[in-house]
Parts: sequence; C-alpha cells; structure tokens
Amino acid sequence: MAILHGSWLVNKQKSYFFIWGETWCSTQEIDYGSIAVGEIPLNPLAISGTQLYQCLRSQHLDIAQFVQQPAVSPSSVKEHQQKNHLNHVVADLPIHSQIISLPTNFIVNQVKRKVFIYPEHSASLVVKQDSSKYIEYSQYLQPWQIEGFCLTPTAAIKFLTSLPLSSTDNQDAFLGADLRFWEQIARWSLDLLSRGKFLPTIHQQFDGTTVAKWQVLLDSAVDRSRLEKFTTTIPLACRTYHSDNQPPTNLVVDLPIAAAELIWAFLDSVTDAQVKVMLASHNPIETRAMVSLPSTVQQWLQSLTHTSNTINSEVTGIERLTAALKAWTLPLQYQLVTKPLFRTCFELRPPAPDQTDWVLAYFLQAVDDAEFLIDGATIWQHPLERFVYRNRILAEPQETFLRGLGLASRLYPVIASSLEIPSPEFCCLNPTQAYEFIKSVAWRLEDNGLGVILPASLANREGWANRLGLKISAQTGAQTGTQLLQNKSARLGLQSLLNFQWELAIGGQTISQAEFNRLIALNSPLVEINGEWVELRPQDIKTAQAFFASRKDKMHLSLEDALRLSQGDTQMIEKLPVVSFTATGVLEELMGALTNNQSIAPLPTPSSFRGKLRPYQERGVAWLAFLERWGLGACLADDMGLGKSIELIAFLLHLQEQDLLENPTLLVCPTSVLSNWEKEVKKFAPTLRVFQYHGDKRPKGKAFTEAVQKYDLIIASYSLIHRDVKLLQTVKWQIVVLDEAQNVKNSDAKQSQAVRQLETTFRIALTGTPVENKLQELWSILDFLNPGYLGNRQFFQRRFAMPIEKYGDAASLHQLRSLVQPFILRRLKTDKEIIQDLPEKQEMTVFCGLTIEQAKLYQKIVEDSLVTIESSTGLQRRGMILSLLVKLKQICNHPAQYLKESTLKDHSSAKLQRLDEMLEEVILAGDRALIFTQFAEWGKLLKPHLENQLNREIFFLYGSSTKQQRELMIDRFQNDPQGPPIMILSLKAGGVGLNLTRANHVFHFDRWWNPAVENQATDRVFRIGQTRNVQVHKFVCTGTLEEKINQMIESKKQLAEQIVNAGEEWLTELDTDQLRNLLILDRNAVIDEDSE
Amino acid sequence: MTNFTLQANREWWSQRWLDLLDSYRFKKRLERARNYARQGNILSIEFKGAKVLAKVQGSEVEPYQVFLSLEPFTDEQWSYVIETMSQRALFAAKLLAGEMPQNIEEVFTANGLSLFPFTLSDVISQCSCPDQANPCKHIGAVYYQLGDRFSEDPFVLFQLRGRTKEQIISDLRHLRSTKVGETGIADGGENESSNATTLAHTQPDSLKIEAFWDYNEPLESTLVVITPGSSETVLDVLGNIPLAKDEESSSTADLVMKYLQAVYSDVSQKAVLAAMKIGEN
Repeated sequence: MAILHGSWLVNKQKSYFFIWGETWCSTQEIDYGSIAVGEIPLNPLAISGTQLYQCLRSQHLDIAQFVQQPAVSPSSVKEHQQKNHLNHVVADLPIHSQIISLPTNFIVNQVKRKVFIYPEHSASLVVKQDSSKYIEYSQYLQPWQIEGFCLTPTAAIKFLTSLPLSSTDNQDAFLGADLRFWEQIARWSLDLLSRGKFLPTIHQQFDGTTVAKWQVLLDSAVDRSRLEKFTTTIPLACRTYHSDNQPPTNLVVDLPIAAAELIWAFLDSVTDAQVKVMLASHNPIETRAMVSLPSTVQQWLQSLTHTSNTINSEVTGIERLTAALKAWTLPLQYQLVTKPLFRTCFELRPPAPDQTDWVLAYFLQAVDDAEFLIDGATIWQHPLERFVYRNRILAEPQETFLRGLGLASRLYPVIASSLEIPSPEFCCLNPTQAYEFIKSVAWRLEDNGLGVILPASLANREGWANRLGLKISAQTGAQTGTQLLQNKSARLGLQSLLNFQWELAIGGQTISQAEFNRLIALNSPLVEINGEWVELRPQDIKTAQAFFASRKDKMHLSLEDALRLSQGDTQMIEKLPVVSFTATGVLEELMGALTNNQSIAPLPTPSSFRGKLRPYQERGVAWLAFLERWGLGACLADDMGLGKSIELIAFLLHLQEQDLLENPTLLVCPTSVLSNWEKEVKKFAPTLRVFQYHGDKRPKGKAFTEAVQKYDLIIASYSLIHRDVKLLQTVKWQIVVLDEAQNVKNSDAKQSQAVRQLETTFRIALTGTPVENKLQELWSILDFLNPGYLGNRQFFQRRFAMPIEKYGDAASLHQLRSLVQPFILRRLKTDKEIIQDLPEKQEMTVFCGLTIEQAKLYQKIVEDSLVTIESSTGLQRRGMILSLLVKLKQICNHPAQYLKESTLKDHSSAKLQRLDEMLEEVILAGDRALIFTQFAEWGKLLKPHLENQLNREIFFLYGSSTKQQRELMIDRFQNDPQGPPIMILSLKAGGVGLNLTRANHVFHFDRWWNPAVENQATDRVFRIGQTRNVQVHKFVCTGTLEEKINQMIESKKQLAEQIVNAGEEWLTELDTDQLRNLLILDRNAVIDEDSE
Repeated sequence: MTNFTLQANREWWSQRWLDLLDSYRFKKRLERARNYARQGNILSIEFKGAKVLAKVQGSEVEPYQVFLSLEPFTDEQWSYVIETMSQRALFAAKLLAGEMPQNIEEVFTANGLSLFPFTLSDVISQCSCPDQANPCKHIGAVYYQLGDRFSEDPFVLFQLRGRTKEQIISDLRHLRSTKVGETGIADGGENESSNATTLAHTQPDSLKIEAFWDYNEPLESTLVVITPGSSETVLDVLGNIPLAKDEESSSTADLVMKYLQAVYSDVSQKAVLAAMKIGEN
C-alpha cells in the first residue's frame, strides 16, 4: 500500500496542490557520479501517475473528480470506468512531473570509490528515530523527480476534506504526515469562512487582466496564534517542493519556502476559490438593483461571485474602485500585508479601594508572548524608529501603539475621549462599562487583532471556576472501609447514594446565604468578594434562589455522580455548576485508587495457586479485587500473552480464600478456547471446581440448576449463552466474566443482549484488543460492565464517537479516556515495568478443541486404519502408521486440508478459529507474526483465507518460492514500513537460515513433535537483532494425538527428547494397543458448533 | 450589536466641497459642468504632489488639460498644525489606523487656517480650453468629481495643502522626540549594542532532517465543531465602501454593502455545512 503525500506549491504563474504517492521497494541505490549535471534522478520510491490513480481509487478517492481533464467530460469518464478502461482514464488525466528535495542517504563505498544515494522512506525515517538505531549513512536533502496530480484550490479543498480527519484506529496509515497537516489547514479555512474572515479586493493578474479576489483575513487573536502554531509545526516535507519546477541552480539546495508564507498563500487561494464556488449561481441582490450600479462596480461584484470573470471596465473606473477599496480596507491594511510582532493591548484593572471606576490601561504586547508587555509611559518616552526593549526590537513602537488605539477607538468609541491628550495611557470605565467591556468588547477587540487582558478571576469566560456554584464534599454511608470488607452483603455499586454536604461558593470562596443576599442587594453584575472580582450572572442568581427555596433533602448524589464530578465530566447539579468536589474518608481512597491504579497494593499470590504470579499479575489481581469490593465492573485488557486468564484464576482463588465465593461464577468465551480455559483452571487452580457447559449432553432445566451449585466456575460459549439465556437467568451468579469481550462489540447482537440479562453482583471483561481505540466496542463493553455509565448509545455516539472518529477531537478523547480509565486496566508488553517481569521468550501451548465434523472424520480414520494396521506388519505397517499420522494432523488442522478442497469455506476448524482471533489481536497491537506449518498445501489454503479475513496481503514462503520471491518477501517483511505483518512459512523451507526478527510472535500451527526442529524455526525470530519479547504459541488439538504427545513431551521432557529426537519414527514402533491409546479421540474435546 | 456610528458622516469632507460649489454664484455654469462630469467627459484625474492634473474631453479631438491647486501651507504653518495635532493623540491614532479624523478641521482653524478653501476663488485653476471664463465647464466638471475623490481617499486633502499623510505622521513623531529630549525624560531604552536580537521572536528555521515528515498534532479542539461566527463581520468594522455618491442613485455603497452582507452570511452557512460533511466522499 502506498502512502499519499502532497503540499501546496506556490508558483509564479499558477499555484496548485500537488499530490503523489510513495511505496517501498528494495534499496535501489543510484550511483551519484552517474547523474548528469542538471539531471534530476527519478525517485525510486515514488509511484507512477497510473499507480497513484489506482491507489486513490482503492481508498475510494476517485481522482478524476478532483483533477480537471482537458478534453474529457465527466460523463465519459464514468463510462470509461464502467468499462474498466483504466488506462484510458489515466491517459486523460494530466500527470505532472515535479521536483522535490527529500532526505537522502549518501553512502560512500570505499572499495568502488563511489557515492551511492537513495531516498529515505517517509515511514522508515520515523521508525529509525523510534528504535534509536544509529543512522549509518549521512543524510542530506537531494532533489528527486516524482509524478503526481495537480489540484486547483477548489479541488484541493474537496480532496482534503474528503480524507478522514481522525487518526485513531490506524485508518489513516495511507496518509503522510504532510497531508494530515494540510487537512487541518483546510479545516481552518472552513472555520475562517464560517466566521467571515475574508475581504473582497481587486487584483491585477500576471497577464495584465483585472479580477476580483477574496483575501483571507488573519487579524483575530485566535487566528494569529493558529498561524503561529502551524508555522512551527509544519512538516519540512511541505516546504521542499521546487517552485515552478526549477531545478536548483547551484550546488546549494534552495532553502525551503517560509512556512507562514506558504500557509498564507494556500489560505488566500482556497478562500478565494471557496467563496466563489459557494456563491456560484446565486445572486445576492435583484438584477434590477444590480444594473443600477456603475459598470465597474457591477462587474467587480459579479467577478467576486464567479470563478473566472475578469473585469473589463475602463481604466479610470478600475482605478477609482481600487482607490476606494484601498481607503476602505486601510484600517486593516497592516494586518493584510505584514505579520505584526506587536499589538496594542488593553488591560482591564479592577477599581482601587474606595473607587468605583475600573481602569483600562494601554500596552504593547508581543504577539507570540502575551506576558511581554510594554506600558504606555515607556512607549511615550521612546519616540524611536527602532526601540530595543528586553532584548526585543520594536519597529516604530509609538506608531504601532497609536494605530492600535485608533482601531480600538473605532471598535469601542468609549476609548476615543481618552485620546484627547498628547500621551494617553489609560481610560476609566464605570462598572457598567466594565461589565460591557468583559461581555462584548473584549471579544471584539481580540477578533480584530488587538490584545486584551482581564483580571484572572474574570478571564475565563467559558469556564465556571469563578461563577456562582456549589462546593460539594462527599463520603460513603456510615460504613468504614473495613466494614465494607467484612460485610459482604452490603456492597456498593455505581448507583449507591453518598452522604454529602454542599456550600455555596463564588470565585472559589465559600459564602453564606446572608452574604449571598448582600451581594444580590448590590445589584451589580460584577462583585468583589475578599478582593476578588467575580461575575454574578442573573441566571445563576435565580437558580441559586430556587435552590435555597427548594427542599434540599431531595438532592441525591450517587457514587457515579461523584466519579463523574471528580473526572470533570458532570459539572452541574440542580442546574448549578459544581465548582469544587472533595471526597473524604473511604470515598477519598476509592477515588484515589480509581484514578491511579498504581496506588492499589498488590495481593500476594493465593496459596492455593499452583504457580507464581509475576509482579504485574499480582497488581492485576489486586485491581480486580478492589473493583469487586465496590461492585464496579472491570475490564482487564492486558496485551496478549501477559496472562489475563491466570490473573482471573488467581482472583477467583483469592475470593475463595477469603470465603467470598458463595455462588458460581459464569465465564463466557468463544467456543475455540473452551478447552483451553478448562485446562488452565485445572492446571493453576485445582481447588476450583470447574465445569464446561457445552454439548448435547449438558444438564438441562432443574438438573442444571442443581448441578451448577456444585461448581465454582461454569465455562460456556457465547452462542450457548444466547440459546440458554432463560435457563442461565435462573441462577444468581457471583461473577459474570466475558473472555474475548470484543465478541460483544456489537451491542445489538443476540449474545451481547443475552449476557446483559444475567443476574450478578460483579462483571469482568477480558480482552487483548486496544479497546480504547474502538469506540463502539468500548461502549458496548463498558455498558455491560457498568450499565448506563457512558450514557445510551445515541448519546455516546453524539458526544464521543462522532467528534473523535470524524474529527479526531483530542479533547473529547481525553474526556472519554478519563471517564473509562478507572474501569480499564491495560498493560502492554512493551511497558517498562512489564518488560522486566517478562522472559525474553515465552512459550505457550494453545489448546483448541475439535469441531463435530473434525471429530467425526478423526474417529472414522482412526478406527478404519487401526483395523488394517493391526493386520499388517513390517515396512507396510510403518508406512501405514506414518500416513495415518499425517491424515490425523491434517484433520486437526482443517477438514478442508484433509479433504483436499480448494478453499476453507465449507468446513471449519477450531484451531483456525483460534488463529484468526489471535492474529487479529496481533495486528491490532501493531505486532508481526510468523506461522509455521509442515504442510505446504495448508499454507496455500491458509494464505487466501487470512488475506480475506484480515484484509491485507499475507506472505507465504515455501519450497516452491523462487529465490527472487524469497528475497523480496524477506526484505519486505523486515524493511517495508507498510509491509505485510504476517508470514506463513513451511517448516522445511523456512525453518533454518532466515532472519525475520521483525516478528515477535511465532505460531506453530501443526507440530513436528521434535522440539529441536521447532526451536530452530522459532529462532528465525528469537535471535540477534530481536529487541522485543518473543511469544511462541504452540497449537494443540485437545483430545487428539496432538494433546497426548504434547503431554508426553511436557511431562518427561528429557526422556521425550530422546525418544522423539529422530522425528516421528518412534511412533511406528508402538504396538496396536499403545497406538490406539495414543490416537483414540476423547469425545469431551469436541466443541459444540455455533449452529443451532 | 453595531454601534459603529462613525460611518454616518464619513464623507463630510466631500459634502463640504459640494457645499462650496453650491455657494458659487453662477449656478447655470456649474450645472452644465456637472452634466459634463456625469457624461464621462473627465478622462483622468491625477494627484501630483499638491496639484491636480485632469484630462477633460471637450469639443475638440485632443482633451483639455486642467490644473487645479490650493494654496499650500508654508512649513511654518504646517509646524503649527502638527503641534496642535500632537496635543491630541486621537489625530495620530486615527490617521495611523487609516481613518480621517472627523474633527480634523479643528486643528487647522485653531491656527487660523482652513483645510478647505472658503470660496472657489481660493482654488487656483487653469484650463487649456479657449474659454476665458473661470471656472470653465471643464474646470467645473473636475470640481464635481473631486468631491467623489475626496470620499474615496480623504488624505489627498492634506496633499493639496502640501503634506502627505505619511509626512504628517513622521512630523508628529519627530515632534514627540524633540519634546522628550527637551523635558529630559531619560531614554530608558536599552543600548542597542546590547545583545538584543530579533532571533528571540523569529522562528529559528529548523531544518532538522530527521523530523522531515513529522506531524503529530491532533486537530485543535476549537476546530472540531465549526459554528457560524457572530453576526458581526469585518463589514461592520469597516463600514460602507466609500464609493462615489451620485445624487440620484445615492445608494451605490448601500447596494454594494447589501450584496456583500448577503455573500458573507451565505458563505458562513455553507462553510458550516461543508465542515459537517468532512470525511465523506
């Protein structure tokens, strides 16, 4: 997949937005000496115009709708596309060649005495920085030729606004940082248009014709600071295109275009184009009135609203209109042409003691530093052209100052009277004027490029830190923490009510009702309390009076309210803003622990736990225990391989040791992991009575209700939960756990509905996917854990999902994170404190069941073959055994492999289901994986399946891959920033020699029963150059020979190694009974298919 | 809220000029001159220093040359005017902000001067036409159009009296500096040779090659939801465009402003709509 790039190009004649694409290819160094003088080499990483066209189409961006085509009308383009005459269409689009300077590696080859160059890939530049790997070669900017399309300003806006703004979920991986920058500028331009920040002008063009143009107006304080910010953050990549496509004239690469100029030029161009497009075919005034206007004015107005109208009036008319427009815009002229470094600033000061009048003092303020102020007196003392003040140079300080005063007196005539003296420094405002200044004038001054400083207590006009509001302090009911621990029946929940006190506060200060009444009596919008001036809004006064009048015992504050208040989400109670919230006692501890899970003391490993918890696992268990105590649903979202299941098992043991396990716990998981769970529980917690609820013979009705009470943990699949929800509802569950909780991501799905209907006191969700980035999933899981906490789905969609997903709104994202953070514990294997707890190589056995179909096939083959094997001897017998083993392994892999079918569609396999699930997590975590199989034919089936499943290219390296293919695959897997993250390898072709350290997961999908061979394969990843922890997943089908051989190997590893060292030969030595014992299928391992 | 009342008599200077013409005794002659102007016989008007040069199409093929000038103030007179102006910062402030102070005339009258001539006879004029009468209808035509020119660029008034706006502004500064010198207010400014640099506030142009492709800023939260601005726009701040005022259709500027206002509100709505549809193909 290519990465799209682009930028605005300022040319003498015609400026445009240029887009191009970059892909990855094996290093193709260019001999620097072979480049002729004046020749610009073609960028080997840049894709051709045709490829770019296809790449854009694959992103649902039809470039044809953006690029102007010389001769082809849009309708015929459509026909072309329908006929799929791709090349024709591309041929019609003007492909443009452009020169750009790019970071380039210069490699000196001492032997050949030559210098080779190649451009650095945009994504790998970033990667290198991250891995802090030292850069081996020197890098310089070097001009390269690239191919792409030119977009007019209108097309550029259309293009940029059709790209996704949000950067969550990696969906923007195809966008270069440069385009993401321009996307934001394009959005800014819409904002400028919506606020009317543009001016009509008249403009003489390059060719001498006169046209009307719209010019962007960046006068307001907010736009100035945006310009400032964008100017500093613009990626250099946007600025190294060569204007007018001129190659550099000398050896020195041209300095990049000034950032502010480039942004300004783009805004000017798109503003002009956008206004004209928006107004096309619309006449703001009647034609009759229009014709009454002088011809020049009439033409000018028309040209302002049409894309390509020139003004052909007589010269005098144009001159006079130009003069009038110049005079008209004169007050803004210096904003239009220069980027002022200083502006006149107005500071509102509260009255001195015993005075009533406020003072508005005049200053000069640095545009880039609001703290840099020069007072009027100083300015008047320095009638200079250049004034050096605190290490800054001010050009014409008095003129700048006076100009601002002049503009201000226009915007706010009250100032004018203070300017009747030679050297004005301030004016006085009565309280009403001061209030008006705060309410409406300050904004207007700032919007016109002047500075305003308000008293701190009045400055925050949107927030309510200084408004009239409530101070609330809350605590839990009479119980203390210890009581809570001991009293099992009186658990709290989100809806539990708290005891709380409130006080009225204004400007951060508590006031009594009497004081409040006194303030109201002043009848002034601005009041002073203990030296602080605050605003008293009429609406707040009314609400407060109503609040006093109402019965306060009707007020409720729940734990959920408290949580929202402390996270800054809810801010109003009884229509009054809550200006401060304090929790005391147990509640304070709870709030502290919820917002900082590090403060929860780790629990020691329960003594009945068979094994040792790692330190972070102990913390995880303690965290679960903590939330359980408060009845708050918990989502444990640790990375794959960190041991979520172990943490859950240890947590259950902890409850058991505390004698808190009163009712059975229900664990819901995908069918593919049912048996894995049972094995893990039995291995680590023999004291937990576990029951797999599945299959036709599962207890029903009353038998179930009775049976369930004999167990601590019931494991069931999602599909069964839905089917048996009525029955499961009759049980009072201690805990309901959802494993692979992403299964309820669709809240409308039947299984999602079903799990919500189960009665329980505590809910846990386990998931390895980065749940915080997938908002619908997040909502659905949170809504299961803590119903109603994130609001209903429509509300969530409107408040969070839309702003975050559509606009990449960081503020909403931050708010959402802080709301859900108490309930989600997610540790990454790359976290510093996790890494030190983890072994460099973790080997895990993944137990999968068999589908009914697999089981039937397996059983039939075993029985049929054993009969014939029994009656044969010698070589023939050995051959038959080996071929039987192969068949059984094939069935364990997938029925379609055994049946030699061409796709996997018509059958299913438990192993494959599990692999699909795990690979999805691998990809979501940004990891890479190798999948080893001993069957080339399995790789051939698996590759298209995974490509379809994961919607991306997958590599398959096996015996028939040519040398060239192998090299390309390995190179791309190791180096291509956007290369496929998964590679399937046949054990024979890929088991030795290769270096694939970019992967950190190894899957052994089927087994060779020879640890040495498997370890050798694993070492493709776990070798020098590997910087991360490696996880090895060994797949085993339970109840089959795979499990039994695995057991043998695990239980007597040393012996097994001796036995099995020679491959699978030893199996042929077994007698028929031994063989039968080894091969016979354990029916318990058969998983119930999802079919109903 | 629009309390920008200052536009109401913005064009008092052109009104004053027209009043001056009205006070002229030979009404008939001026009437003809006005028609002349309206019929487009004035080919060009140029301000050269303190002089007005115009070309007026008469009955002959070659247009007539018209020269107009007022008696320029002497340097001494100007220095009084500047002195008076400097007493009130408002004058400098308005001039710098591109605005003609409404009460500018006070500065001149305080010094026994008048920015405007009292009578037409104070206007020195000359025409290349054979007509002996002054003003001839060519001169009269130029008179009429000067009113429009004054409203389009009021600062040419100063120019006709011998000073440009820029000169006045710099004279004012000069005066302030001599005053500071006289009163001996210390020049508290730092010595320029101190290591003051402009670098402190000009962005160091970082050419960090390793950050060549970097952009990690999220969309500014104020740009997430785009709402229409307040009803107040730059049109309210600038007021009417000073377009020539025709007696009959005095509404040119009003019409243009109406046109522009419709444009601004329309664009604002459409931009808000466009912003909502972002990310959709």
